[in-house]
Amino acid sequence: MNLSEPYLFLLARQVDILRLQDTFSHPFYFQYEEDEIGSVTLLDTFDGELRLSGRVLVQSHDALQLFDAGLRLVLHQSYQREWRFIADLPEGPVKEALDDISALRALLPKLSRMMRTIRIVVRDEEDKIHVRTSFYTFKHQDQMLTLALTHPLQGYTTAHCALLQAIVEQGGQPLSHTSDMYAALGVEKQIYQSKPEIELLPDAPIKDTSCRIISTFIQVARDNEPGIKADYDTEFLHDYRVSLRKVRSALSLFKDVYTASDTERLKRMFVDIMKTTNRLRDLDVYLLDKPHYFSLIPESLHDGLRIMFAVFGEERQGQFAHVVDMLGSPTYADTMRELAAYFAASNALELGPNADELTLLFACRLIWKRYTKVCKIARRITADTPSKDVHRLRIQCKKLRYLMEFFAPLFPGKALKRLIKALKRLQDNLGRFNDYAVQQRSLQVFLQEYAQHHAESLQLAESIGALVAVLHQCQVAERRQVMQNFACFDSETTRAAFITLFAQETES
Amino acid sequence: MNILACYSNKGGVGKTAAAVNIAYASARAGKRTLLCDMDPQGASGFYFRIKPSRKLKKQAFFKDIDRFLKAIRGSDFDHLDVVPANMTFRDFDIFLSRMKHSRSRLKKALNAVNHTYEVAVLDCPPNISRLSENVFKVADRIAVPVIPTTLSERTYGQLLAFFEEHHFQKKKLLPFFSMVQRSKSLHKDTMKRMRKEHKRFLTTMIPFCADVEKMGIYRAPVLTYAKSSPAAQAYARLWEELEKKL
Repeated sequence: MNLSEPYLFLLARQVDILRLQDTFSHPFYFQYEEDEIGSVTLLDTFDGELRLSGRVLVQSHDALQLFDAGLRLVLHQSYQREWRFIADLPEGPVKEALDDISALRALLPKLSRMMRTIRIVVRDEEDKIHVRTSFYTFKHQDQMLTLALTHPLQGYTTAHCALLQAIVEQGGQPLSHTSDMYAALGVEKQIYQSKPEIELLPDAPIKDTSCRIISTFIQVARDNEPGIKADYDTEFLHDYRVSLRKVRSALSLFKDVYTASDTERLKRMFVDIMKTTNRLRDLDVYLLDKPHYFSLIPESLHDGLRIMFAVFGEERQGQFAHVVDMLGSPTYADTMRELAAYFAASNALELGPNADELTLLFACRLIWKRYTKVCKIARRITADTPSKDVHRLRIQCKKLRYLMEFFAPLFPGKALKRLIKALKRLQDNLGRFNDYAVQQRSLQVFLQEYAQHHAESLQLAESIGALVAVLHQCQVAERRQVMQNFACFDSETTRAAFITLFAQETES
Repeated sequence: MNILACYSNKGGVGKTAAAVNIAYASARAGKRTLLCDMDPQGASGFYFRIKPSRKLKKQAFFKDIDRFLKAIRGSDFDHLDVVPANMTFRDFDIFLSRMKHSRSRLKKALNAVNHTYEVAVLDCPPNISRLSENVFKVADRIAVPVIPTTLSERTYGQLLAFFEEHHFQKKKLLPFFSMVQRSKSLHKDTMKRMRKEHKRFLTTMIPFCADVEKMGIYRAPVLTYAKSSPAAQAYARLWEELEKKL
């Protein structure tokens, strides 16, 4: 036990100050200061980033306190205006400590408590401080929870030791970064995950596995609906769409698990749902990337961009209302219930010829096939290959990635992670290549439509023209990297790993 | 870690007051600071209400780095720790002369805490001894408080001569005027003359001030109980000027 370091404890009660005082007899004496903070709110992102990192963020009417169980410290900072994202906070130690929290995630209230603090200082007969400690008590109805933090001073171990013993005697439990303060405070255990771990059985028939995977992602999508409607942040819609996209991919990729007609019909249903949200997501991405777009063209052309973003902002409001309407409609509710029911059990849908194939064999077969397809297309790509082949490669890489992620629980974790990482670089390159192409088209379409209804559009045309030119250059730069990135992916090690993991099973 | 010694070859010039307030100013600026009280009178420790550690025997200070680390005490102020003096330090002169590689001992002891502190302030005894020589070698800069009188002028000259004779780096010396009474024409004239002759004098001067004498009553740096007093503000400026040189 290192007595020079602070310690953090949890007590399921208020600390007994008089009893604590008794620990420190002559020559020590004890000073304390109480503070009724009042109502405080515990904040976290929807996906529990603070909780998972062993920290608690609490907000009173004018200040923030961040408890860090890993570092054993408490940070304080004031704030004036309402805020939602870490970036909105004024500069301060809490903001600095939270720079690892996703910039796109809003901090949402989880629960409220009444808070009270007590600060204690222990001095000797020379009035020298030997140790300090702070107690933060959270009260809710009859329940109390106290976080105790000791602040030792270098070289004064006796007092610190006595204090630690006294806190333990009062029921203090030491906290570490893995301790769940949230459970102690009364926050429900379940944390939302956009990529939940799904338990897969290698010898289960693929029809069962398919249901598990698809049901899971339908649920993830649904979990995001309240957040989308409340418009807390853009990640809710993003996760919603990614989950539904995964469902569509699973349906496409799991060949002949279901009948061809059912597969098409179900895919269509998911496409129709997602279609309503397409434009809103596009606009969210534009608006999030606004500073980046401005940085791409000279200041003299910024006025045109301002016009464009003003139009986007207004359009976004309309699209958002549209999506909220859809999510709240009885048709949507019925459709989602119907879809969920199809995948609740493996006998709900008519089954295809491969439905009973064992999961592991099925997975290896599909991944191996997709991997060889990726390599075949990529090896033919030269500097002069037309763009459509590069797009084909992108789609195949995406499918390979999805398959590897779907079936990840069946394979050794580290090995698979390495392969996905190797693939990611190429995939990101191809993704950007595609994004730049899409953005150029989309901006030109926007300009054409705008020009049709507005007489004055020269400024906008100049700005968009400049932006399109820059995006084209970016696209060209990405294109130049494709061969090299594939070469990196196509290394001996990677090839060997793919063979080891996926080819053996298919050959046996 | 930057090592700043507070040294004078004459007593009663405001050396300890300077060491204490410079160390406090450094800590207040957010730098992790260690004040080492090497003066057997043990005044810096007293000003921080820290009792000298009886356990630290003279031999142990330089022989056992671990013991040195154990002697460190946290002050009541953030970022500021103190190594209080030990009465047996006064025998160090003799002790060190007997040791091999004696010049490197002090440096080693301080290197042991290098990873924890950004600034070390050494409050040195007001004499020329083996310990002082060690300090001259190891310190990055040496702040020298000088009361602007004829006698002090002479004493400073003696210090410079000593440095020259023993090939110590004169450029480390950062003299500054201390306990200045501007109403006295002697002080004013002396300062003018000394600044002309010795370009190294710092711009900041510490005024003679009752608030500084009250350190013995408050037992805390002046900046904590009289922050708007001229002396407190001068110490703050002194730290800023010293920091730029470190």
